[in-house]
Amino acid sequence: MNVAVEARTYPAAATAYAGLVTRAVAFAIDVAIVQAILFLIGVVVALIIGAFSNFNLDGDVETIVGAASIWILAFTIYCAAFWSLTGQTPGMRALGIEVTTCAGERLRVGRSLVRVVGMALAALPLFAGYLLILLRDDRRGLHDLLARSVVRYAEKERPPRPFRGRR
Amino acid sequence: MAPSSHPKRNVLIGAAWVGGRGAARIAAVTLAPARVAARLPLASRSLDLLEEIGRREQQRVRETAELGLDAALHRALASRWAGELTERLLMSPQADAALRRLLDGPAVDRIVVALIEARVVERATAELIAAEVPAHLVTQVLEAGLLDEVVTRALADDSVERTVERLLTRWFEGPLYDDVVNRVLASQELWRLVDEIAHSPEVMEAITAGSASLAGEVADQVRRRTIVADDVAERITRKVLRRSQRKEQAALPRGDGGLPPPGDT
Repeated sequence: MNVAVEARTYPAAATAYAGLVTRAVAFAIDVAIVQAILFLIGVVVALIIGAFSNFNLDGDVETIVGAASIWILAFTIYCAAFWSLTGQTPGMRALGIEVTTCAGERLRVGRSLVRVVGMALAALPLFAGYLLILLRDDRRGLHDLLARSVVRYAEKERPPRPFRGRR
Repeated sequence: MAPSSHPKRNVLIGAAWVGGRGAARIAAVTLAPARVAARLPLASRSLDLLEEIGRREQQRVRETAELGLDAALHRALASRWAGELTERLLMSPQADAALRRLLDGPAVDRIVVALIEARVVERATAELIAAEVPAHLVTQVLEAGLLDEVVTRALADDSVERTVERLLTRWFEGPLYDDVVNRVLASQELWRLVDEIAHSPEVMEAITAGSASLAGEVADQVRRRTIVADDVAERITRKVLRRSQRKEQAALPRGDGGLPPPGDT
């Protein structure tokens, strides 16, 4: 009972920016989701192809580059779609955070794509782009600065628990 | 000699009739003074008194007889013979067979149908509720401690326990139990009831709430810990890089909707 009450109070501040660890956990959840989806799709595709011909997955460079490209494309679509549609990926939803513009509006698809690219750029110099999250008061990393976005705790409360005893 | 035209029997009847009428008249004339006296006020009061005495004595005799019967009944019920007799009757195969015959026969159905058609239960319940009998009854039973006493005595009595145990054993081992269970399991109403309960909104909500609350609690705990970890990571990094600590007050307004201080968790 206490948990429910506390859960409704702490993420409610409109200007409460999400920190690095929270965002990293949300990112890890999203990566796991994308990975699981791609794995299932890969299994299905392999079974279908294997039914008609000999399916042999060689670990050559072309295959790896192709798989990585598919993965990056899938992750880009996943993030851009969720950010522009709901402002939250499932991982962010689990952690109660959302990404918006600095004015608090939802990101458009273009800005979402810029943010995804910014995430890759921020990781290139030994993740120094993410170090900004720890040093800035508004907790914005390089990708946030490029996309002019901000990550904060979701303002809206979680929906009330569905069961509240007998009516 | 010519036979008489009047047989003896007719002569006797005629004589008796004439004699009886004469006697009745004589008696009426004789009792006339008594009748007149009975109508006088003094005599009437005496007769009322006598009648009252007679009625009282009759009442006393009836009460004495009832008391005697009551005492005899109590003594009979308290005797060990009554217990043994009851036990034997209940344990006897004849009682079992009679119960089976009764349950198998149409009498039970007829009684139930008649009760339902006459709306006996509804009427009785309505009248009981209107008279506030259930509440009174429950209050009185609870206040008098009667229920506790009965339960305590029943639990303390070995013979009751043994009898109940034997009855239950016979019931569970007997064919009647299997019959009843089979009939209940075969009835469509039971499965409809189970289906209704399983699909009732309350049950579905309870199941959903169970899983939702678990996931919600896990998410809450993760959020709390990541918030603390955010602050710790920031503090350490800023200390290492010799940067000033974050202006938390500017970014996080305090109050009901604010974040809890790191130490809270």
